[in-house]
Amino acid sequence: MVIPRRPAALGLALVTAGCIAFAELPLPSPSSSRPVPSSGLRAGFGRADITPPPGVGLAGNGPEGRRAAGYRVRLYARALLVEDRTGERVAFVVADLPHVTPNLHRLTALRIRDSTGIGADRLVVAATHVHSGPGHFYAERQYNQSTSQVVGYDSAMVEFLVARFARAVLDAQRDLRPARVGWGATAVWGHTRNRSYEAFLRNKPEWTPPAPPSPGLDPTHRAVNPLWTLLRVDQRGRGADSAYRPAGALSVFALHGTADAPENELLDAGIHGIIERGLERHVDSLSGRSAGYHLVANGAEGDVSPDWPAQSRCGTPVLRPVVGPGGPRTPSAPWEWRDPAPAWMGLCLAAARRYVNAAGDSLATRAAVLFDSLGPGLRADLRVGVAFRTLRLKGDPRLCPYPETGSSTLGGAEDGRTRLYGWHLFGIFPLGLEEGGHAIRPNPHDCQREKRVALGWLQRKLVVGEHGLPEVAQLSVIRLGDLLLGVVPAELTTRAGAQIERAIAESARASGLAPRAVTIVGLANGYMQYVATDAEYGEQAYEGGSTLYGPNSAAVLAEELGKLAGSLARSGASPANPVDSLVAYPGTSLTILPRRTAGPPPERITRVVLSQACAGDTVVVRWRDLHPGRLVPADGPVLRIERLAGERWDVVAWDDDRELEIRAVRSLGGRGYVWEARWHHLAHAGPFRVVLVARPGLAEVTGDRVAC
Amino acid sequence: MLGAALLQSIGWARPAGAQAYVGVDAVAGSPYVWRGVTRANGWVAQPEGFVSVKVGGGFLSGGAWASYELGPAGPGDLSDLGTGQAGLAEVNYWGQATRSLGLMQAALGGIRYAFRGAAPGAGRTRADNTTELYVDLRATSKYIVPAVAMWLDVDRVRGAYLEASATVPVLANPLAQPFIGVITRAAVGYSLGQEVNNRDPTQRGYFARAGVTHVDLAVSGDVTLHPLGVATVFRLEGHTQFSADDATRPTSASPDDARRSIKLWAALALRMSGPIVSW
Repeated sequence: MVIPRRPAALGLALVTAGCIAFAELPLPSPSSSRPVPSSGLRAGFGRADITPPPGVGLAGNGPEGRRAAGYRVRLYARALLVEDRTGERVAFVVADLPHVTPNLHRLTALRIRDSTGIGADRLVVAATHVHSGPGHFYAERQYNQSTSQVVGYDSAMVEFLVARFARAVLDAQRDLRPARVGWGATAVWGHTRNRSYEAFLRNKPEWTPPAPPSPGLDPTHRAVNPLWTLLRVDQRGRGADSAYRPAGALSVFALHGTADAPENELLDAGIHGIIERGLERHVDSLSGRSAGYHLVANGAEGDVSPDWPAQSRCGTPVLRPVVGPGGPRTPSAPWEWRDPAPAWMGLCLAAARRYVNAAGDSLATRAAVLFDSLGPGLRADLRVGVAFRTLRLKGDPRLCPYPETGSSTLGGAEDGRTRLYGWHLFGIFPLGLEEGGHAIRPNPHDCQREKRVALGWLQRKLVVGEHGLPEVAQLSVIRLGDLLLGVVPAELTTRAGAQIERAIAESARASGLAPRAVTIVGLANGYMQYVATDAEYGEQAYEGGSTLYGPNSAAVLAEELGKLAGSLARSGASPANPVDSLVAYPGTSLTILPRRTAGPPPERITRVVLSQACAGDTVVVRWRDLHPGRLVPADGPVLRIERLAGERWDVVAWDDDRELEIRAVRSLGGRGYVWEARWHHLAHAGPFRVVLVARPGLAEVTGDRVAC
Repeated sequence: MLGAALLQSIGWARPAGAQAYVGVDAVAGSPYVWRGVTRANGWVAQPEGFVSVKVGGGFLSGGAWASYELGPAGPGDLSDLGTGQAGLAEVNYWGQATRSLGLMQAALGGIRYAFRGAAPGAGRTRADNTTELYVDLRATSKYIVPAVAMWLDVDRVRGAYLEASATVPVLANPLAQPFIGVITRAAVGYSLGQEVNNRDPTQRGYFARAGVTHVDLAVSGDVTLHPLGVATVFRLEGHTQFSADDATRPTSASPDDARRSIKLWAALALRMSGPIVSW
């Protein structure tokens, strides 16, 4: 049922018809233009800051996702555009976001098509799956309702992201230069582990990893795909400079973006942000320029967690009666979800940060070694091809007729349990809010088989509605020489990923193309939650409960991607890739992303440092500035920290530093907004000072010297 | 003063910062059941106002509530005001200190009851005015909140009334605002000296005998909203009471309703409170 959604209409629909009203939002269907042969292989990079102002919800941890109080390592969308000598093009955008949705993909394609010739079929927009990025952009209402504690869809967030994605691709187009590329893979063991090992063990035959495991690893650490695949790109200099220098890389590695604690309250690029910057610094050191790029896409990471330490998980809130104001006859204060003690929260958040930094550095080092190893074999004869299709999930006879979420999903995965995990009715009767156990239906009798559907039939009728969950999957197979990328809008488990990679490889070989490797790029061009194998589905762990269209989902994706690989191989280049029409059902747009009209304009603000102090190893600075919304971190640097070295002040950090946290503290109404910076100066010795960077309408402000 | 003394008695530390709250609330219910005893079988409205100071892990509060019988009582009705009367039936003043002690919550306080009944058949008159001290202790846990409370009458009634209860949340909306909760509660009342004292006719009594007075099974639904930034709770509660004492059995003044074992009652509550100043 599709009717205009208004609150009254919604209420009426709930009461009288037992359904939720949805408004259609048609999405564009931009197709790529015909390839125009060029002089040879070319590649270009671009980057756009996508750090929104504080106030948005941090998506990825479901109901535990906090409202962003500030930011730490900035979020970026990085773009790589590759064109071979026949003019075949493909553009990759990897964004520091929890997910990517069809509306972001299609609207970005529309923006870039006229300038680049790249339509939806040749554009891959993937998410790193960081769980500390913003939400509110989803094409599906249910995700806008439940991916963080800040609820709702905001079309301004879509515009914010799409404009920046497009800018990154257009910058990559402008950066197109003759290039030499090479790809390779290495096994990276010990940083990841399988978080749903019981489900993993159900697969037959047993897992044979693609590379021999390091000795001493426990079984959960061996139950992952350890391959790090990296495409290195060197570009020729501009003008008379004909030398080829390292420019950047596209990496694919299966790693959940859950290294940060779920209780984190800062926008942050997470472990992927550390990996991205680590290799970029290495590229900069090799090229002698400050223009390295590292796109880190995710692989089949559905059941693959970073190896976070136990002390980095803080514990979920607990529902408790609270002590409130009032007396003996006062109606008692309502029960509240209470967080663990603040001191404990501080410790576990710090433990998570230490892990993010250490593991991120280690993984970046591995990427740099792989990058260096590819140098001698770079070539300029890479062939590019793309096969693309839009699969209608809803109504596909091979799948369940409509998407449903299992009760195990509501409890959350091991990386970030929700407050509902393990909940029993009256403390006695299990509700299936767990992985396995009572989440498994004892007498499977319909398409969803072992899945105990959360809330039963009420889920579809009263909570999710007719169009609340994804209904399509945009799939593609991309050829980069003898490397094939299977692009899926899902979080595939390790074995589901292997099943699909195998199907792609076999189909390609049967059609005359012999790939040296096939790699899954997950979380791209849309989001249909998880896909577990048929065997794993029977366990109803978090991933099985989140496999929306039932146990046959992995087989269907394998079949479809296999067909795409076959068509790609048979065509010799890119087959005809029709871009079907799509419709989004995001829900009513709310004002969530702080607007540029928030608070007084710059000319009415006196920007000033309010206080600064040094507490132990931390410099704490508060200053008055614009309200969030007028101050948008993505617009550019906000502040830098300088250290006195002799007679000179050296810049030691700016607000894109993993040791620097920026928070929007409180409104001063018409006088502005109080912001706070906390910088852990670690090995640096002061004195320090903070400089508020000049921005449009605001002059630079320099704080006093702080002795530490 | 009473609250301050009580705070000192539980070792309250000097607060580093404090916050003052004001709150208003109102309960509308029918019948009016107080500790298992039906005091008025018509509709009653009970507004309240209070101020609280939040210090450390608890509150120091004082306030007053009143009870209005909304319609004139008939000859067969129970009423604190008496037959043919309606309006203000009692005004009560209280002070309370509340503190969270880890997984325990404790409240200490006192109440002064002042009744206005004067007409024939009035359930409470000035002669019933009295004063109570009370203590309430409850544990907090994920699934069940056991509590025990004791009210000690130090004036006209003497003796103590004990109530033990267990509260269990059934459902809450964990995903988003508004907070919606369904809470169940079972309570049992016990008279320890608040029954009629035949040896001292000047001493008032609430119950017919010592021992269990009643068992109350309640379910309540909460919706919490924040209009204008003020936490506002709407609560609808229903009760099923199993009466064990002759004083808790009557559901009206009619002899036919004097021996009821089960009674049902319901109430609708609205509570608004919020901080007004910090220092």
